[in-house]
Amino acid sequence: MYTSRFIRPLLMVLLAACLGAVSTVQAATPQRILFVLSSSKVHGSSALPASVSFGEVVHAWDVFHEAGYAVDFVSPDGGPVPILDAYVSDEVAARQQDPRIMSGLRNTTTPARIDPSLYRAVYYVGGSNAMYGVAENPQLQRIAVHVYERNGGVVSAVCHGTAGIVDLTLSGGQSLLAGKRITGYPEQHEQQGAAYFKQFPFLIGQTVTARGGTFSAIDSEQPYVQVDGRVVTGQNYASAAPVAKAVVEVLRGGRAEVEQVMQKVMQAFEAGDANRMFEVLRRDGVVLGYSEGQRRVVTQDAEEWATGFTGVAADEDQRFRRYEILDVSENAAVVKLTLDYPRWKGLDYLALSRIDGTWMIVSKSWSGQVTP
Amino acid sequence: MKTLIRSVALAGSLLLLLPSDVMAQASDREAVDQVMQTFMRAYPTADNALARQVFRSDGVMIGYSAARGSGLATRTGEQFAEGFNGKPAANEAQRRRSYEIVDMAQNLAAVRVTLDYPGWDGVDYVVLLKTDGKWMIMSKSWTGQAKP
Repeated sequence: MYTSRFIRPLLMVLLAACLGAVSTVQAATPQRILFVLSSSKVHGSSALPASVSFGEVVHAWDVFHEAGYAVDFVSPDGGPVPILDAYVSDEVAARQQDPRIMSGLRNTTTPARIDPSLYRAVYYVGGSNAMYGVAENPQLQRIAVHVYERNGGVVSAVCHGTAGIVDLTLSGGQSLLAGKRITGYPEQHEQQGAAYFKQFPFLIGQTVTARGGTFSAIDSEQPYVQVDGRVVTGQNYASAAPVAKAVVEVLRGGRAEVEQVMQKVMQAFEAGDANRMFEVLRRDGVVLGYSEGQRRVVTQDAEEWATGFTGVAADEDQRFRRYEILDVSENAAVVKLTLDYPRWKGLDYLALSRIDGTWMIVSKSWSGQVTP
Repeated sequence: MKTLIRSVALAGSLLLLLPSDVMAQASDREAVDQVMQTFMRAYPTADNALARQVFRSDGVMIGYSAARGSGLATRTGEQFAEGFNGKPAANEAQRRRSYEIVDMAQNLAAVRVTLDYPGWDGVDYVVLLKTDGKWMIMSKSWTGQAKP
């Protein structure tokens, strides 16, 4: 009995230390984008062949690669995804010899093997098979929502790839699409009398609208992209590169990066993990607040403050924290953090600076009181 | 005349009906605004008395600029006020400053100050603390870069 009481916290501390070490390693690796593809070789229950749109892979891959992101591929069944010749346009045909892309398409990972914490964005690839087996896959849903909510990342889709995001539900129970401007391949552009159309399990525009999104499309094959917060969608084949560019822009924008910093702050608080905190808090930063007892402002350097992080707090399940990004400019930001603990009610303002391209917390100005 | 008295009485009654926390918040915002106006006046006059009036001596100024090395530069409020030596900057006439209150809480407030100087672009986040009914600046976190 006593042994387990001592061992459990020790294990938790060791686990937190390991997690800290792992995330330090991850921070040094390239940032990653996850391409989501369908495994379906046919339209629904028919024998009509269906395919991934190869160009929508290539054009987006090129943009992400150029921007310094690594790309991984996932599909419901894993392994090779179907690419029919009819879905390989002339301008990308030679890229079927590009091992960097083809290796990924021939060896897609199963959703169960994906660690969602690694990704800054998910990109749902189109093609006629994107209508099948993706939207309803709970593991793919979990990955996308994790990237969006916990990583502060981007959910993106192009053409029929938009079908893959219609069933994404946030942890609060709300559809990801609710209140968002969304585009995708509209049903009005389908050959509605054709056999394949009768296999569609749902219609993209109609379903987006049913989920509370605002669906729009243009009557053209020109690129058309909608960016609404951290949801980026493109209408058609020509939109693949513009969607990827928009994703990169969103990720480079300060707010998404500040969001990511705050996700780490929250994780560090939850785990009581100083190492994780120092991934986003400058060690030479300051923590200051008013001490009622001393009747003065007490200032600590960040290192000293973080000595209080000694693993998961015993009452962690009763500690509530929330944050609000108040203001973001090119190189500076301020975030309000509210702490509601069993014995402490506090409010912090965190000031962040972009230092050598990386957002870091430089000061934490707090106010709070012990509650009886 | 009767109408005027009736209007004043009605306005008074409505004021009494306003929740006290709303009124307190409005007066707190006004107080924070006053502090910031005083703070802004300290710059063109380089008047350390004005700076001391609004910046807590036990407060902190911290910031980063690539032009000033890789570490964060930290000074106390007292040291910051001492920097106001009564001699305004030579190019003070071309220096532009503006501020915006970005958040008000019970006894903390956050304000963004934007600095547009001939050779400097800066954003400061100033946090104010209310103690014993008085608002003062507790911290100033600055970021900036030299203009080309």
